[in-house]
Amino acid sequence: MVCVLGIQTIFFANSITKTIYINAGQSTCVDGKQMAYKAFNPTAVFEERNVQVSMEVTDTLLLQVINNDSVEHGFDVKWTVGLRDTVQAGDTLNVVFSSTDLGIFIYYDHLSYPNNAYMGLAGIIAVGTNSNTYFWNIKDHELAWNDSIGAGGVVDWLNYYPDYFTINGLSNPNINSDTTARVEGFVGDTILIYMANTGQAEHSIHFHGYHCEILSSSMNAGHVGRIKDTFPIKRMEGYVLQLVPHQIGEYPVHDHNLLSITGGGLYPFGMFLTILIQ
Amino acid sequence: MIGESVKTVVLDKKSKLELVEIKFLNTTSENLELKWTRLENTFPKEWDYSMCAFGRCQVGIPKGGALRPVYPGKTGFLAIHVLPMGSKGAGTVRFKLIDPADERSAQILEFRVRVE
Amino acid sequence: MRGLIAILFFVVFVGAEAQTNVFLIGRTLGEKIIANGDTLRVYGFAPNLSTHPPIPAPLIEANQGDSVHIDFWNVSQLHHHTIHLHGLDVDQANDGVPMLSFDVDHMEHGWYHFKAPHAGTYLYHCHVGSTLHLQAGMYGPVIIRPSDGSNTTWDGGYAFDTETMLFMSEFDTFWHTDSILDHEHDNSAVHDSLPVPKYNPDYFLINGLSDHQLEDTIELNSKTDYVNYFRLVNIGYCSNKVVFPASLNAQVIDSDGRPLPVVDLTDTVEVYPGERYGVLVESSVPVLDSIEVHYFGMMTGAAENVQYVKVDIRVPDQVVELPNISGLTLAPNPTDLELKVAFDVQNEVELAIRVVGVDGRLVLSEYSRTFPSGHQMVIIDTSLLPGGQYVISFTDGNTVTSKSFIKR
Repeated sequence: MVCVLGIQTIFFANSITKTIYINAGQSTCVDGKQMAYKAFNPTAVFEERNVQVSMEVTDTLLLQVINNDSVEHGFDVKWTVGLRDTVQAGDTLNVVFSSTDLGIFIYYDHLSYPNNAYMGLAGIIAVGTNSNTYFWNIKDHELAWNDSIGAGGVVDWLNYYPDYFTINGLSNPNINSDTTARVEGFVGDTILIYMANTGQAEHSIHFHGYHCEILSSSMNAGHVGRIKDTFPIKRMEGYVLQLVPHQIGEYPVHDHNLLSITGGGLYPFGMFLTILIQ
Repeated sequence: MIGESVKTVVLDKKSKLELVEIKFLNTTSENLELKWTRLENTFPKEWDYSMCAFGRCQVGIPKGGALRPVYPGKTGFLAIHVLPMGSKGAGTVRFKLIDPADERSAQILEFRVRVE
Repeated sequence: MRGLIAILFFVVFVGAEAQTNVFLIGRTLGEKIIANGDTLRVYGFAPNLSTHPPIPAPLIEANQGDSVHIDFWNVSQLHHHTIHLHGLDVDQANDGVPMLSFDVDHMEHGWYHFKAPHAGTYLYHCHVGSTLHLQAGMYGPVIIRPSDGSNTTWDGGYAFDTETMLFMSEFDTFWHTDSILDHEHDNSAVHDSLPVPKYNPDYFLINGLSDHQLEDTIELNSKTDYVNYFRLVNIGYCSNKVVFPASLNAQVIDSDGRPLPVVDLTDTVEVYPGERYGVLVESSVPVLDSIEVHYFGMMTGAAENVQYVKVDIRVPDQVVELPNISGLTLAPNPTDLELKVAFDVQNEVELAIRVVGVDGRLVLSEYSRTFPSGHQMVIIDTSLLPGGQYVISFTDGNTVTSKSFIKR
């Protein structure tokens, strides 16, 4: 006689410790021009890409934020309460974060909003990732404005007209070299894409070859379950998308506001990358 | 001219005349900035047709237009495309090719098409 | 034996999938009359050699499960083009991205094949130098109908009585000057690197029309308790907010060719570039109102423009035929080269005539023609119309009489 027992799955919540540095530097645009930039980095050495944090549901993130810049900065996590704080130059801030649901959270510098976040200080916390998880931190910049804000100047957002468009700090073709952005997989894989718009413009991300399902939406919970090929993404909005490829091939993903496919006024050096499925 | 200035084509009503050209060579040492005018078009209205002048492909066959500059030693052309749409018939389209810098050297180019 | 063969042939024929063949010509010297009366140079996809490419391009239509074959002939010197089938999830070879499949040079043919997937609303557009070529006019709609071709949204979906497409885009007229449209093409490059000017749209389009061009047409002419299905499409570079009058009880039921898991009861539908939405509207009372289509810049969110689409819903027994007109007939129907429209006029009347496609695109508009009393006939040249269903309307400015016809 076989007695089948019910199997109870027990989740062991983990503590994840991470240290991130607020760094200032110069970002190299796709055409070689340089612009003032800031980012949350894994070390004290500046790079354009903000730290991508992965954690499971109910994990606890112990985040140590070290301000390596020469001015005060802020820290907050979008769609949470009670985490907002500031950190002086050279100081350290400790933050504790957890989520009971799969989702995407934007961590950012809330001071002088949107200026500091626009300068690059915004990244992704991905909750509920799997082994096929990708990060798309979408940004847009007007080079002259980066330099102006970086020098303490004032800009008029009503006249904003960005000329560079990036994912994880990179434009086409360099985006395809970022293994955390460039989706590669096999037919039937369950691929998760954590996508956040931390720029100032709105975007509309279109997939060739596939439709994706919305698993989580930061601004429209009612959109969960929708299966689409084009995803409008507003300022400081985030999605978790699930892609289960049904066919092989290499297919573009790009902003369908086609102005954003340009970089430095040149097509197609903007927000454009490909997915490779075998 | 390269070849004849009159091109005659016979085709079956179910086929397509995708391209027939009359070419010319710029034997001068200057760029040729040519214009063309349509002198005659007797193609049946049941046919679907259009033309290309060097550098510009027109919708239908308009009254006139200009070619892109033809550089010294390079070849220019006028061309037509005809889709008979299953209709038999015959027609001619004649163009006058003009160099505004030397209008006496104007050439008449003619395409004769018969569909059987 | 012969009877057995006949039966086998019948079974095979019925079981075979239908095939839809499409022929499109790529053009770069098209002409489009815009709202101020000027003629704008456009790129586009034309159905034949003799007509300027319409904006938007001709509708591609098929039933779910059909095999669709597109013969794209590029007749535009100096410019390469492709056809990208947007949202149809075709395979890489047919996806129309030049560096990942092929592009079509001048005088070449490109062939695209796919099996029509989920019923819904899709697009096609050129993907060469797409920022410039798409704005220049190389875009058009694709409708995949349910497998039986019926007036339902998808297999087992909602039945509808009328269908209207609102296809939103913009023109920046500077982008249509020769200096921009006659861009260089590098045959040796994987893709063209093209300078793109700043975008300042000055015309905001619905189905290729704007401003007074829209005011002269009624886009939804229906009856109370009729189910009306709107297909909303954004192929521009602005975001749209489409605001339906509350009296229409709008329901958003699908997007990007897939039913929504939960129907969205809302009068306001945001449609972003590349997105499509299906919306059902219905009213039990007469409605004479407008749908507002707002355009917003995506860089700043600033409001750019608003266009209006008229709605006229009447009680069925109050759909008044033109008082002076009777015996309206169309022949032949279906038609090929021309449509003879005959009617009797009781008293001399001034009438405007228009013909629209099922996608709402105006294909013929003739204004204020006076008809004397007696038997009258108008001959409409349909030889250059793409195949499909059309509606011809006569109006004296107060009432409208319409009839539909089919072009083979």
